[in-house]
Amino acid sequence: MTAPINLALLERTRTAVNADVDFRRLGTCDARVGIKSGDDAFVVDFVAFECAAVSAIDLDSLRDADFYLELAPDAWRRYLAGRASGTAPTLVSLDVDSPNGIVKGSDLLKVLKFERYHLTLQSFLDRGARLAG
Amino acid sequence: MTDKPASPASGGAADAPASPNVQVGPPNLRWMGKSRQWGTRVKPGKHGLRLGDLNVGIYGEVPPVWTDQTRAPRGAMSRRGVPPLGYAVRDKVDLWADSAADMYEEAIQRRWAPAVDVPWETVQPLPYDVERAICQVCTELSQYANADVESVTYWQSQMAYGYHEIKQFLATVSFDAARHMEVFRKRALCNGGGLGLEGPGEVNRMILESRGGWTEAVLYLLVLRGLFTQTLYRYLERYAHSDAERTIFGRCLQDKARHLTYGIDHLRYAVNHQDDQNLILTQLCIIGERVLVRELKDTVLRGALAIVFGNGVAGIDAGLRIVDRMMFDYVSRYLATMKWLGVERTTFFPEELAAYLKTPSARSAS
Repeated sequence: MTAPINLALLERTRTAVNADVDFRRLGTCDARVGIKSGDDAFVVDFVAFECAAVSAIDLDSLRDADFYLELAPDAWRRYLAGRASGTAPTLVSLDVDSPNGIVKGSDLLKVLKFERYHLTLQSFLDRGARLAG
Repeated sequence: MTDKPASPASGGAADAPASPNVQVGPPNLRWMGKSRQWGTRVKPGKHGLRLGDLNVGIYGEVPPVWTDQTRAPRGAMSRRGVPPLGYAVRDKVDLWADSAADMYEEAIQRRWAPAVDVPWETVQPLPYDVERAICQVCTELSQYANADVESVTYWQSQMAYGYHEIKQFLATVSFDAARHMEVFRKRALCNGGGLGLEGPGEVNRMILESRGGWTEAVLYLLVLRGLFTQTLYRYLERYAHSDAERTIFGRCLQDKARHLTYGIDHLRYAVNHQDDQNLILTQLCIIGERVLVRELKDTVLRGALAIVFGNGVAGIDAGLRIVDRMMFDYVSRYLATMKWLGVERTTFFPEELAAYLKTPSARSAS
């Protein structure tokens, strides 16, 4: 079974959002966002109005991200399927509901970027969810 | 200083036709030679041309104290003989945050308009008790936003123009807060309800009467209260009863996170650049936390939130457990922020706030 979050999906998502006027309309976003799914880790770089790059990284490199989102692979799979069908909560709601939160990071100011840009991140993940579906 | 001669055209001004009704002397173009640094060419980058990009050469020199008492822009040549208009906040340490210029741009780029960006058509009739509760919450949130506007605009006028990035960012904070006042009022008045009971306003009074300096106001307005408001927005987004409410609280959360970023960034700057600032902040926290505890004894907001979260009076017990969890999040985040800033918060920390960390429905038990 393909991993729910994988580099090919993130690349297709990057291409799709960069061509989307509505994504740009959300405003500038400058954040280095990590995604952790089991033993897999990725970083998504947002610069100005676009998603500038995506890459697979090792788990230790997550510390170089401004913050990262962490879910188990099955939880990511359910989440993306739920977003594609309109039944899953927002990232903010998921963070509220999770006992230890899904947003991780050590620099308090950088972790605040999640809330500064959550609508952009949601838009990115929702696009990925539709592409994965 | 560059004092270039004006162009040859300056001699031609005397040739202009004189108006018989206006008594002004003949113009000259000597001012054209007045610039402290001429020839500046800042290029736009991927983000466009940002405020922070302009900090080149002398325009980027941000002194630790702004001695000029006029409204001369930073980098401009002062005009001789301009009477002073005093500023109370003239030390960089009392207002600075490195992130302010970028967040000014961000606030503009990520702006929104409640009139058209909220899907108001998704607001559906709600049970009487739930509508009452959400209207009560909106009433108190609009009061919070009003305190934001009044406090920020008061202090803005006290700040030296030399730190223009801060003044400009704070202009966006007051505009954001005005937008929040607007959107909460609209939510209260759009679904058959109306505004509810005025909140106790003890923290608002503390914020508005804070005269110890902008740093003190930042602690109370943007951190002690700001973190509380931010936590409320997170939970109200989670327990929204329509896409409209989800949009409202999700958008407000983005704005509030910017305000909080400035607040924390400024306090960090103040602590790192001023001896004993962390000790001063500890004392201010002790005072502010007591006022917050007094305000939290008012049960109106707590009850209204429990009804919103529990989806009605019938679900109020479940709702109260969610309120306690929200308070756990708030107190945890507040203490983590203070610790990160190097501000000790064990001395005289109110039992009433500490109790939220031990409630059965708190995070650790869930």
